[in-house]
Amino acid sequence: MREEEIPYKGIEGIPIIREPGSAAKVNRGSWRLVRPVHHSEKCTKCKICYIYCPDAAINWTPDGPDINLTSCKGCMICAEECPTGAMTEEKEGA
Amino acid sequence: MKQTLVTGNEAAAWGARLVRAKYIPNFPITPQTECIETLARWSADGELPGTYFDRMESEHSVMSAAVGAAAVGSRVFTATSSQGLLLMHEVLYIAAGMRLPIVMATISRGLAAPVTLWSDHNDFLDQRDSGWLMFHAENNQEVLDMVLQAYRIAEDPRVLLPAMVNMDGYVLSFTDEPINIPSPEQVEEFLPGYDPAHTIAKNRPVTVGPPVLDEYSIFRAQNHVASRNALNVIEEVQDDFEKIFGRRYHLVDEFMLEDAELVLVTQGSMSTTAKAAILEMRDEGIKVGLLRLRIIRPWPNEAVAGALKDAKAIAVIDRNVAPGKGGIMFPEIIETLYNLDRRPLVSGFVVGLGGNPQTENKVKEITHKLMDDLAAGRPRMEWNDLEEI
Repeated sequence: MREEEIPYKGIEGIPIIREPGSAAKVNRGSWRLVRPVHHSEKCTKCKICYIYCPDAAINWTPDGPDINLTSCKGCMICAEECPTGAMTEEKEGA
Repeated sequence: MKQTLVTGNEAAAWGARLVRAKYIPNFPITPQTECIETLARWSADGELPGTYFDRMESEHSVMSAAVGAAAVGSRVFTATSSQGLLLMHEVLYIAAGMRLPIVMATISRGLAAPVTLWSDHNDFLDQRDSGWLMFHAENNQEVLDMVLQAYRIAEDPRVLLPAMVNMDGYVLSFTDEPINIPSPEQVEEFLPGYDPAHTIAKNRPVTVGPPVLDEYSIFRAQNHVASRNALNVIEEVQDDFEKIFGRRYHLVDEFMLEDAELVLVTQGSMSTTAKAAILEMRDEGIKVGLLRLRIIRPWPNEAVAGALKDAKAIAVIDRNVAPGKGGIMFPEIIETLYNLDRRPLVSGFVVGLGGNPQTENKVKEITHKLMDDLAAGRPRMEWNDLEEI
């Protein structure tokens, strides 16, 4: 496109997102290399994984942690912090 | 109109005061310090009502805070120099990309190493590709006028880009000159309040500057087109400015160019010295004139080409250097003239680095060298400061 043909779009041409919550519509975990796997038999329901998850990808349920894999990036902080080894690492696509 | 003696630093501070900047994040650095000191004193004395004067811990934080405040729709002013401007560099692109009309006074000082406190234009020109509008003043009156105009141009819906107003450290920043300081009412007439439609507001929750995929090029093109739009806006605002303040500026400053065979291309305060030298050389019958670059971005291509097209030979005097290439504006001038039917000869001179004085004698020397180049039909690239070592 020739320079003089590029239309000026005013504020429509400014990189802003006008609709709140748009991130919920995309899979934010698609580039994860490893995933956490929860073993309820070792879990004491101490909630440490829930508190430490930097992406709020762990929801808390009466049965313990529920990992939201569209949000989890596979950082494995939950496994690192789990005092009883109830979170283990598994390779994606393996 | 009554004139007041102020330094360049104070002139920039007056600009921030008169435009009623709501937020002034700042970090002191020589030779900008006095600009911030002046604003700090006014703020402490209660003379800046409605302004939050915020001392930060680094220039990176200053520009980050400026972006934050501008993203919620505030009119923001700040100032910096040299290493401080380099520390801001990363965030400058963000301010431009988010299309936030922040105005910043930059007070030029050479870059380390070795350390210098004195002026050259490398700090300012290193921000050339950041997407900001870049204006360069010749004297203290123009510093104040440029700050006022910068807000009007930057906030125009056809532009919405941040703007830098540059002055030379020491030569302007610490030198008193008589200038006209307009009344707050005059400035309010020229520059009403700022009410943007694209920033975060109470009833407008938006995400600013998000990650994108294929749209990246579209937004970069909008930054470019907005900058090109500013050329028209700069010319448009002059009518209003002249009506209210009685002064007028052009895209480029032309001095004795009508019949000039030799043209010196300069920037900033050295232009005043060069103009004085030109008046003396005119008495000797030398047909020499001057083109001062006052708008660096957007590049006023047609104005520059129009002013230079009839010259026989041009000396681009760069108070900066891109090591491994030469003066920064030298190739920009050559590029601007390249597609003309008849191209003048263009020589480049790197001068005045780290505050080396640009005297009238040096300007005359350059002019005579340019005459030699024209006679020999061979342009040169020369380091003018090295002759006396």
